[in-house]
Formats: sequence, C-alpha cells, structure tokens
Amino acid sequence: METNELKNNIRRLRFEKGEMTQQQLADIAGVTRQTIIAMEQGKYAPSLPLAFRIARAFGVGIEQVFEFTEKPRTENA
Amino acid sequence: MNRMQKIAWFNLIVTLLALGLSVVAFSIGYFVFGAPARQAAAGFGFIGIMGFCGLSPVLFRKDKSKVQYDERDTAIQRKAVGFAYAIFWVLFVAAAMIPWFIIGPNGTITTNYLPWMVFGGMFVVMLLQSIVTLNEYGWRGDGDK
Repeated sequence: METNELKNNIRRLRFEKGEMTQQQLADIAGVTRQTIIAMEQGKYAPSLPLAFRIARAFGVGIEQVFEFTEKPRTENA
Repeated sequence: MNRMQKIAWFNLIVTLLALGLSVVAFSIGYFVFGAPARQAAAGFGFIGIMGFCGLSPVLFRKDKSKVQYDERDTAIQRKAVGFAYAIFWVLFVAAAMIPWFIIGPNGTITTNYLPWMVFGGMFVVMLLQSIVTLNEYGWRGDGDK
C-alpha cells in the first residue's frame, strides 16, 4: 500500500521566528490553535491555501515549511 | 477542549443516558413487575431525553478566540456526519428489509415499528457522530495544552 508523508517544520520555524506562539501563528493563518497543534504533531495535513498562508507567515517558501515524501508505487503488470 | 468537543461529549452522554435509562426502565417493568413486553416498552420513552441534544449549541457558547471554526473543523464535521449517516443507511435498509424477509410479502407488522426506526436512527446518528468527532479531535482536551 502506498504511504505518502507530509512532514512540516512549523515548530522549528516558530522558534526561529522569535518564539512565535501557536496562537499568534493561528491568528495570522486564520485557523484555530488546535489546528496548528494538530499540524505540528503531524495529525493534520492542511489544504494548499492554508499551507501557503503558513509559509507566508514565516516569510519563506512553502517547501521550506512542508516536505512531501512519496513512496514509490509498485508497478503491477 | 474546543466547543465542538464539548458539544460531542454532551451529546454522547445524553444519548447514552437516554439509552441506559430506557433499558433500565424496560427491565424493571418487564422483569421486576412482570409487565408484558408491549407495556414494559413504555420505558423506552426515556429515549425522548435525546431531545436535550438540541440544546448543546446553546449551552456551549462560541469561544472568545479570533477564529471559531476552520477547515479542520469542517473536515472533522463532514467525516463524522458522513460516517454516521453511512452506518444509519445500512441499518435503515436492514430494518426495512429484514422483516420483509422474515414474515414475507403478505405478512403484517405493527406501525409502532416505524417510529422506532426513526428514534433508532436518531440514536445511531447522534452516537456515531459524537464518537467520530471525539475520536478525531481527541477524547481529552490534550490538544489545548
């Protein structure tokens, strides 16, 4: 079975951005703090617009915040 | 714990309380007082307690935070409602078809069966929706810490 993984660096970026709190990031991104917590814990994969909003909040590109690991598919002939 | 979790907990407790009291009342009527099953079934009137679930949005007011509801809440809500109604539909079809299979096309059943399908459906939907919601958010308020 194919298992793709979306990892993120939100927690690290928050601390690099002057110890930004989860609530501050949530307010900027327009989501609840629980959603930020869920993302940091890898329990929630955000939509593309939200991913862009978070990246903009940190002033970095989206690929610096999120890392997508795609496991190769097994070809069935 | 956010508002949706509180509402889900409240609905779950009310639903289980309604079922529990109904079963106890039926059991007392049937086993203790020896009433016929049809009379003892009046104990299931306690299912009406489920009506209190309608008060949950009023009881739990909106949080003071800037954002009340976001895409994750919407996704969880959709998942919970979708799952609950999927199971409800399976049970509804079973409830409609099983008597037909058992007693045949010319058999008769009491019309009391129909409201029971409605109340049973409400119970299943409310229960499953609450369980899935709490399962998605987490059963405790850990996410708030």
